[in-house]
Amino acid sequence: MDDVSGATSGGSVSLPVVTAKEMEGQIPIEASPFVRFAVLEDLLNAARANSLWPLTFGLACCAIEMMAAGASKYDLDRFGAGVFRPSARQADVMIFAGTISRKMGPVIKQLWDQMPAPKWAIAMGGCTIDGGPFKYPNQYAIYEGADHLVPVDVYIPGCPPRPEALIAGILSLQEKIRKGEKAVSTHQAALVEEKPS
Amino acid sequence: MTAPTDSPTLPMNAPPQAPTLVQAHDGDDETYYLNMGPQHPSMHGVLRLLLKLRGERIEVCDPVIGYAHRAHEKMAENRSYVQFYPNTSRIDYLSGMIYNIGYCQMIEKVCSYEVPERAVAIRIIACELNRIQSHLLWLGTYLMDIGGITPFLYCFDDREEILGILDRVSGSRLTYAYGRFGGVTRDVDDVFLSQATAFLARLRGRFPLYAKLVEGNVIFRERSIGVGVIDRAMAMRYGVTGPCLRAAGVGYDVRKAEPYGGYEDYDFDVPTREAGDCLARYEVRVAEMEQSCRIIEQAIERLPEGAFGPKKFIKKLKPPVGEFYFAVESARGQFGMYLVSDGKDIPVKLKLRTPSFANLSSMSEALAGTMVADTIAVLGSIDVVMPEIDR
Amino acid sequence: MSRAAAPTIDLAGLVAQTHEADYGVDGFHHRHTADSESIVRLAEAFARGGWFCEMVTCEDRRADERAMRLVYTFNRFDVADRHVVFVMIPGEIPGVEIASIAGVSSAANWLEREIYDMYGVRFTDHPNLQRLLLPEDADFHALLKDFGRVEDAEAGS
Repeated sequence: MDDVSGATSGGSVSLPVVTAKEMEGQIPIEASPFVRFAVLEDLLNAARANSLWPLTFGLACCAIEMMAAGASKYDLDRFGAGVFRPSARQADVMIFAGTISRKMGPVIKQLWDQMPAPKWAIAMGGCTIDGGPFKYPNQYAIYEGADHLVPVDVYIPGCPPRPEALIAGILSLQEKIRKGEKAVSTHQAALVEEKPS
Repeated sequence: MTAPTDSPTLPMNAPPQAPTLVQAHDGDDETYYLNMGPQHPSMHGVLRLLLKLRGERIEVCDPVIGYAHRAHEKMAENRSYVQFYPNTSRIDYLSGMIYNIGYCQMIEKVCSYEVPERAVAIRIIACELNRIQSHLLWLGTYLMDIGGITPFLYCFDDREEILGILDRVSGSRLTYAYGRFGGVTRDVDDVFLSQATAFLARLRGRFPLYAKLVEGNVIFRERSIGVGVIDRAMAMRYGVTGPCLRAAGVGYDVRKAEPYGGYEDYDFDVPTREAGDCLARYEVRVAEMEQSCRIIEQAIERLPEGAFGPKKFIKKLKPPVGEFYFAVESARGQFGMYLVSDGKDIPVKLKLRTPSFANLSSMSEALAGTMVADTIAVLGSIDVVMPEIDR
Repeated sequence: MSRAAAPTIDLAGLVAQTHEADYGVDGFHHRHTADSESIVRLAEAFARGGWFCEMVTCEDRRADERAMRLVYTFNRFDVADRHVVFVMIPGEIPGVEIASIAGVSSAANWLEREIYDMYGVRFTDHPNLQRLLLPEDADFHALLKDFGRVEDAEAGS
C-alpha cells in the first residue's frame, strides 16, 4: 500500500492509502479519496496525545511556572493540555511540579493508583529529576527524583523550567504517546543497570 | 544516577503506604471528619486540613504541614554561606528577590560590607517589583479559589511583564540569584528603567479594571465581608505579620519599624484596614501595590551613578562570632533570619522565621465556627506559600 | 529617623542576667539569659506588656556544653524592641524538657512543636506535642548535630 500522506504537521498521523485498483469492488470509486485505513491504536493514541488532562499537582516553585504555562501568555490549552483536573480519577498525566518530600510519598502513591490507565508522568524541574538544588549528601527530607516513585515519561530540566520548556516537554510527551511508547525509566531500573559486578 | 541513601537511620526508605484517615465519629449523625489535601483543587500548595464538621460548620480545623519540607535549615548548617545562597530564593519563591537580597543584606550587616548607593536603589526597584508580582499572583489565585476565573488571566498577564523585566536583567523569572554580598550581579540599563516606568503606567491603568472586575461582584463581597476575621488580639497572639496584620488595624511594616536597605529614604505609606476580614486583606494588598509603585518611581528618579556591586566577588566569608537577627518585609510579612556564627564559613545555625508559618497557625482559630466553603476563601486570603512554612 | 522610645519592662526575678546589646551590630535591642523555671512567667510578662512572641528556636550545644539552648525573641508592633532570651538546659536527647509557653502565646504552639520535631526537646503542658514537619512515623530529630551529617553519607551518594 502506498503511503502518500506526504508532508505532515507535528500532530497528524500518517495513514496508508488504498488505491481503488487494490480494493477493486470493495470501495466505490467515488469514495476512494475519502477512505482511509488505520490501526485503531494509532487513532486512539492521537486522541490521547492531543487531549492530555493534567492533574493539578503543584508541589513547590515549579507549580508557579506550570500555572504561568496555563495562563494566557503561554496557553497550554492550544495543545489540548489546558484542562487541569483536581481529581486524579479524571486526569491522564501527573506533572510533578516541585520537590517531592518524603512525607508526600504515600500521597503520591495513592494518587498514582487512582489515575486510570493509560497514564503518564512528567518530571518538571531539577528536583524531580535528581533532587535538583536540594540534593546534598545525606539529604533526609526528599526523594531525589520522581522516578523513585513512578515511571517517568518526560524529564524537563530547569529550576524552574520556563513555561516554554514545560510546553516543549508536553509536546515531546505527545510525540511519545503517538508512537505508542511506554515509560521504562525508573530509578530502580537504572540501579539495576549500574550495579557493580 | 546515584544510589538512594540506604542508611539504617532513615526508615523512610521503605515503600510508601497509603495514609490513614481519621475515622472516629462522635456517634452523632451531624459530626464527621473531612480530610482536605494535601492534594486539592485550591491553588495553595501541599497543605492538609483535617476538618471536624458539624453539618457545614467547622468545629475544629487542624492543619497538617510538612509536605514541602526540604531541609533548608539543615542545608544551611552543612553548606557555606555562598553554597546556601541559591536556597534563599526557593524558600518563598513568590518573594524570591526579597529573600535573596534579604539574605545578602543580612550577611552585609553581620560582616560589615559596604553596599554602593546605586546597588541600594537597584535592589529596591527589584524587590518592589517582586512584591507587586507576588500580590498580583495572589489576587489571581485568590479570585480563582473563590470561583472567579477571569482575573487570574489578567493578573498573570501583568505579572508576565514584571517577569520579563526582571528576567532580562537577572536571568531568572522566578527563583533569582540577583544579589551579591555587597551589591547586585549585573547593572541595569536604560531599557530596564524605561520598561519599569512603562510598566508602572500600565499597572496603574489596570487598577480601575481590577476594581471594576472584582470589587462590585456580589459573590466576591458575600464571600469576603465578615469572613475569616483575624482581629488585632488574635494577630498579636499568633505573631501574625504582613498584610494580614495590617488588615487588622496594626500598621507594622519592617521597612518602617526596622528600616534596612535604604527604605528609610523613601516616601511611602503603610495601608491598614480595621475589619480584619478577607475583604480587608484584599484591600490592603491592592493598596500596597500602589505604594510599591510609588517607591519604584522614586528609586528610578534618583538612581545614582556608580558601582553596582563589590569590587571583588566575595566567596569565603569570615563573619564575627555571635548571634544575629535580621528581618525584612516580604510580601507575606516579616521574614527574619536568626544566625549563629562561630567565625567559620559555615553557619552553626540559621533559623528562618517565615511569615506564613505564624499566619497559617492562626487559621484554625479564624476558621472555627465558619462554614466549610469558607475554608478556601480564608486560606487564600491569608496568602500562604507552603514551602516557606515547611522549609 | 529617630526611634520613638520603647516601653520598658521590669524583668526582675524573671531573667537570670541582662547583657549588653547593640542593635546596630546584631539586631537585638535587649539580651537576657534566663532559667527554664521562669520561662512561663517571663512570657506572661512580655504578653501583658504588649510584646508578641516573634520566634522560638533551639540550638544543639551538646557537643561543647552538654546542653540544649532555647532562644526566644519577643518584639513589639508599635515600635521595634526585640528582646532575646537564651535558656540553657543541660541534658541529653531524650531528656531535655522545659515548660511550654503555648498557653501564653499561641504562636509558640507550632514553634514548640517544630522544636520537638527537629530537636527532641519536650515541652511539658503543651496542648498537642506532636511532630509538625517530619512524617509522623519518623524516628529521628533532624536538626540534631549528630544526625544526617554530610561526612557520614555513603560514598557515591
